[in-house]
Amino acid sequence: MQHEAPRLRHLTEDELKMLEDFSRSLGVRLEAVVSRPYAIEVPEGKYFDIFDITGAVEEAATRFSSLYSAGFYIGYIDREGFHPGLPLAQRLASKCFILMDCAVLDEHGAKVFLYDKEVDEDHIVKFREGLSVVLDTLLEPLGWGIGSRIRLKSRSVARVKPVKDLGWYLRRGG
Amino acid sequence: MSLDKHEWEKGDELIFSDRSTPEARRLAERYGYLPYIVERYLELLGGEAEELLEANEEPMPETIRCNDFKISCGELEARLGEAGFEIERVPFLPHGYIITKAPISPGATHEYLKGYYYLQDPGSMLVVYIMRPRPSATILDMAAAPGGKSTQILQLTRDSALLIAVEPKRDRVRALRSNLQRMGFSNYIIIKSDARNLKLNVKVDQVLLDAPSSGEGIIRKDKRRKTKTALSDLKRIHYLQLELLNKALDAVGSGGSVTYAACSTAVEEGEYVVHKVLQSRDYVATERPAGFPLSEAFEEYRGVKFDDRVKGCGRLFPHRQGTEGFFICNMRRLG
Repeated sequence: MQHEAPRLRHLTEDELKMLEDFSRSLGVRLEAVVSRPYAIEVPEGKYFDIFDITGAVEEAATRFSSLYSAGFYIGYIDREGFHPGLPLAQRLASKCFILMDCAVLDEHGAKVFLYDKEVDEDHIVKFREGLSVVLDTLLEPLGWGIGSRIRLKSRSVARVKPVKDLGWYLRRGG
Repeated sequence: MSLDKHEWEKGDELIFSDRSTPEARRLAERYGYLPYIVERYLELLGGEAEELLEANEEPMPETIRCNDFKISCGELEARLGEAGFEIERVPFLPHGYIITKAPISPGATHEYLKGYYYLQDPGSMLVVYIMRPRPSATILDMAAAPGGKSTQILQLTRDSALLIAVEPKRDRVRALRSNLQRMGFSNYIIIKSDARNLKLNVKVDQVLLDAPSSGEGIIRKDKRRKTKTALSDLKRIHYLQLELLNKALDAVGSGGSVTYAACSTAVEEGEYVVHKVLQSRDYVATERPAGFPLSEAFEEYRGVKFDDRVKGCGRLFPHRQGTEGFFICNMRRLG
């Protein structure tokens, strides 16, 4: 059976809105996240990757079939919505505490986080509720995490759960 | 064309034949090689052959390339030092370090995950310095995974070259993308394809072809390479390399450059490939890179005298440069 090759395309309005909502949830404008968003769509694929692509990369990318990746990787969209990628955490880390809030973990917390494990309150230097860029104490990005509070009997405790951490490069990246 | 074919057949018959002498068989048994490989060493290197066999017994030291696109090399040195690593600069590699002491695997540090360095052998690093990738050029990397040289091209051009990275295998293409992302680059496209089938509508400025090879150059890292490639397999690899190098030279326009490299000490994957390809291309010159510790290429083997331009190519040997074995050749298309 002949498979159709992946192709580069513009985002639909709905997909753009998804990225806008994501940017707003972080507290930044869409332009801080992506300036020229494109999707690489694999026909009948369950998700598609989103890239920020310069004019030169776009021009080169449209010349080839079997395109696998092009430009700056932003994340992917599936049925559940937009999932930010690790390079985007790197891009947005410079905006932490200037344009948006981010979570910060101590040395032990960073180690735990990079093993894709939840970090408890004792190792959270700066907490942010919801999805955010997670930094170490050097303010360098470790990935994306979700900050939440669990209510215990007498108090609530904070935790940061990894969504995508740099350890992925070892576990899955190849 | 028929003359070329006849010449090729004659040359192939001479070069791809097992002529191992009792001395070659004795050394092959002692060091655990296929005899034809040791015979080649003896024919080309004479008394030096045993030095090469001995050097191949020495494990490769772990080397890294500092990614100064993301961090200054001084800062990386300090951070690895604090983590208990001991590292030394490699004199002929501007971003290269040998790790002399590692408290943990260098592939598992936070600095590695942050893309501050790449684990890369010195010969492999040297290929890209010799290539001299130009800022803003369009560069084709024909066998790009897992991305050591691709990331180095973008590092040396400060992510300004437009890189077209090609790789046919699914798992390897994933690793390629992962490494390009980890190291912080974005001015690239990745094509999942066999480079031989690539349809380029325009010419590119530079091509890097680190050709699929027998891997005879990395025996220090992988002892299986001593016996992995039968002569018939080597011939098949040689013809694949020919196809790829012809494709590379067709991909560049006038003035464009092609860097051909093979991680091998075999003439069949080095000089003999370049020799054959240059036979029908009088508009291609080779450029011997100055300032690098390369050994001379061989000028003939078993009575097959190579094209004069092959002299412009170079080699790395474990017993001479202390690296893995490599054949490297910079070519420029003149017309």
